[in-house]
Amino acid sequence: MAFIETSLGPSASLFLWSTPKFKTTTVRVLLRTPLGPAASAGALLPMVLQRGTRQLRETIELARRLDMLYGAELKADVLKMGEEQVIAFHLEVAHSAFVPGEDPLPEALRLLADVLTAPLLMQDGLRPDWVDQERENLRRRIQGIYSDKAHYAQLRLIEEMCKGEAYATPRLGRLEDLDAHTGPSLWRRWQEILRTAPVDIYMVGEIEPAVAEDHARELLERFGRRAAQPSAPASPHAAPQHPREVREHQAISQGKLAIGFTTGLRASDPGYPALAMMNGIYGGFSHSRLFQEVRERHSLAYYAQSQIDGLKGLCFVHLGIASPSREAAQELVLQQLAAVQRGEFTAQEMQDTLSGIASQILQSADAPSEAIMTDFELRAAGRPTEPEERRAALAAVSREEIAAAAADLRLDTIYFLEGEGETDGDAP
Amino acid sequence: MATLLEAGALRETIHYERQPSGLACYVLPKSGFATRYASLSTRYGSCDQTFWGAGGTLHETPAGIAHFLEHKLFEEEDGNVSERFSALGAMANAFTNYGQTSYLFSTTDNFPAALDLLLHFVQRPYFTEENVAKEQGIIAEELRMYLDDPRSVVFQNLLQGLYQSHPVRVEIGGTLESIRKIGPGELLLCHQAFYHPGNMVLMVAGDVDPDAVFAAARDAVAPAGTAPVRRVYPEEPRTVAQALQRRQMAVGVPLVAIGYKDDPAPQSDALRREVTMEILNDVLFGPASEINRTLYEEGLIGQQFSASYFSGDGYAASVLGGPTRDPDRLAARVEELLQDAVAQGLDPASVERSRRRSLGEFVALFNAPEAVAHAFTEYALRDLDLLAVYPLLQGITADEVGERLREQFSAPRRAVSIVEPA
Repeated sequence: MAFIETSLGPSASLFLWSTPKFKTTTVRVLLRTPLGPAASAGALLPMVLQRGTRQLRETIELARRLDMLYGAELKADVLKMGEEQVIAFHLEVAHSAFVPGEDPLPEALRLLADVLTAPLLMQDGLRPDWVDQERENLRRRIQGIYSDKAHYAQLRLIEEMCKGEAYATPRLGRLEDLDAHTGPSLWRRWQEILRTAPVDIYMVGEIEPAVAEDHARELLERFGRRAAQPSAPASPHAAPQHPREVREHQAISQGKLAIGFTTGLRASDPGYPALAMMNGIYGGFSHSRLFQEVRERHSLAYYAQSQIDGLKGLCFVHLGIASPSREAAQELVLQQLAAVQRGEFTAQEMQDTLSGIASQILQSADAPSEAIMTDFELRAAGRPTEPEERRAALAAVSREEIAAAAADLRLDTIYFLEGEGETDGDAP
Repeated sequence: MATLLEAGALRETIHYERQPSGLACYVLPKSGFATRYASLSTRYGSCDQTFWGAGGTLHETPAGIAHFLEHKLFEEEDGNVSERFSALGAMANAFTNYGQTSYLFSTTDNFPAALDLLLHFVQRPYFTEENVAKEQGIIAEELRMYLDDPRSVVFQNLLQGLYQSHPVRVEIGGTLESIRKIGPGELLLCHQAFYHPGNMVLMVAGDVDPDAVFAAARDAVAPAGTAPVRRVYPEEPRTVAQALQRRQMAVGVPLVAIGYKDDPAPQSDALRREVTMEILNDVLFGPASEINRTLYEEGLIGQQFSASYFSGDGYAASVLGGPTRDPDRLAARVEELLQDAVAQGLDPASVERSRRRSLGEFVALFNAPEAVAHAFTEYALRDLDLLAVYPLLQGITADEVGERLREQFSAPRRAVSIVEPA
């Protein structure tokens, strides 16, 4: 993919990929804010803003207008990226060639602009009953994480591992901060974000560059931009002298083992491609050591994988195992890391990893949302965005560099959510 | 001879060939896409537990065997076949559902070699006592993962509430107990019965030459003369098995699934039924509906509330639900509001909105060749043509949607499944 960047002011840019490849036009507005105590406000804002606008004063009116535009999709959410919370608004509209009547795009863009900049205000703030309803909805979303055991284990691992750091704040914020938010406080926060947060507007589809730029400028004018706050890199995290172990118990069938390491490397470091290759050999694919050893050879798990957070400099390993297998599984995880550290992997494993990552790089250009998020995350990490340059950097990595990247991993925290998998009873 | 299936203004064409082996091959050419995708699927899912085999023998097989077979086909005498896909730069995967088993890969490189591997390994079973025993541990962990997943449990329990005898009420993967009864002999029997080319569909999507795909399939798949399998589905009564299922689990928020049992459509009407029900469920429960608005403002639902039509060979139901603070109240309110809607009839404007929304979503589907391939295969295995949805959506009327509202919901056969914190 080839996004063309146009600067629209300080910390504000349009990234356009004008292409007939897709049958829709996709627009994404991404606002970056520091992750921290305000995270629950950041999570609540898109939920309230989606409820309606000054012109469409009931949620059902907005939903009906979007349906008439051939199901134009307008949604918003937050994501966590390093130590930032990104507020993302997403619009996707069928291209006019494939639906009857007028082009739905201009009106859909007007609705997006209204949702972002012309919310329904009452008593100097966002509509209070919407704030109350969405606060309860957000409360349930946060409570619901407990229901997803793999997600919960990852969240708990990070909470324990990075205690006291901004990184430990969950994507949706914390329950205890929820009650503080009111219509007026949210409105003030939102105006501040619109005026000062770094903002990227992405567009993908069959759209003329001049038209796209006009739309983006028009939208941004309504933000009332002032001097933007530059985004700060995530704070470094050092592993403790002795790894920590945390164990919790729940009435569940399968235990979740989540292990955190520090990598000593950031995505912007020149050595990062070696770490990416190392992760591919260790646990990123089904040909990787973790899957092959823990699942295929020893039948201990259904899934066993590793992943890197390049912005914070961490590596995570996740396994779903029967609780009595914990020690054996943990030993295999560390043994396999030691083997990679000693350079004990084949040329075939390196080749499989390279072609696996190269394939992911090319595939990201086959879906509008993925293309946008890949480009956005690479830029945030200060990494090259050109597919060929990325592939070449990985291909140039040597066995010694991979082993050295593995050797820099430090075991930090082992979190185990213990279940009751001992009994092999029938499913209830 | 290849046939072209088209969807008019959508500017998409699917090339089709029924081969001498009996294999049905479909290709969706998509230039400009880096990913090439292929799947080989058989009409064999978790529902096909009981069948008449060759020689007139009735076979009753353990629950979860189709899924077990899917896992096991990846094993070859010289190792796991997914490593060979990896060596080609391709990612292989597979899945089993109620009526189908699919083997698939995606790749940006070496497509012909990966396609050849796909066509061959699915036809090449290699089962030993040892490798079957090893797989039992892996599948047991997979089943345990689903036992802890409240969305999976609430849906599974709903099916057990809705259905008295149809095998759709049985877990796709079987149970920790049933998978222990599976050995190499049972697996081989099912492979021979259901992996006949005439029972299978090859689907390819991406920047490929359809004729080259057809030629590769002709070379790789030999004509086979096996007699077709006859599946046995016990007769399903119209009434539900159990109106309410309740389960306590380690969850943060209660979940509810509400099912309205429907009479399955005859084959000639099956596609129209799917399209009509998608629109009806959206008219009744979608974000722009009165019912959704009321439930949302009563604090009973959030954005995760959804409704869909769930249907296959011998079963059909509308299924709705999501997380909620009060599952009993939500189930009761849905029923009250639904009966109001039946009494009032449908507003033609709401049908037009949902029709447009479905049309837009259908167009957007074609952004993703893999998603098209997936949906097209699922329909092809049911002898339905996905591309025919596009013209159908342009001509659907408020009257026929309203008729379905009365047929399905005026004397509802309903089951409710609840998962709540322990």
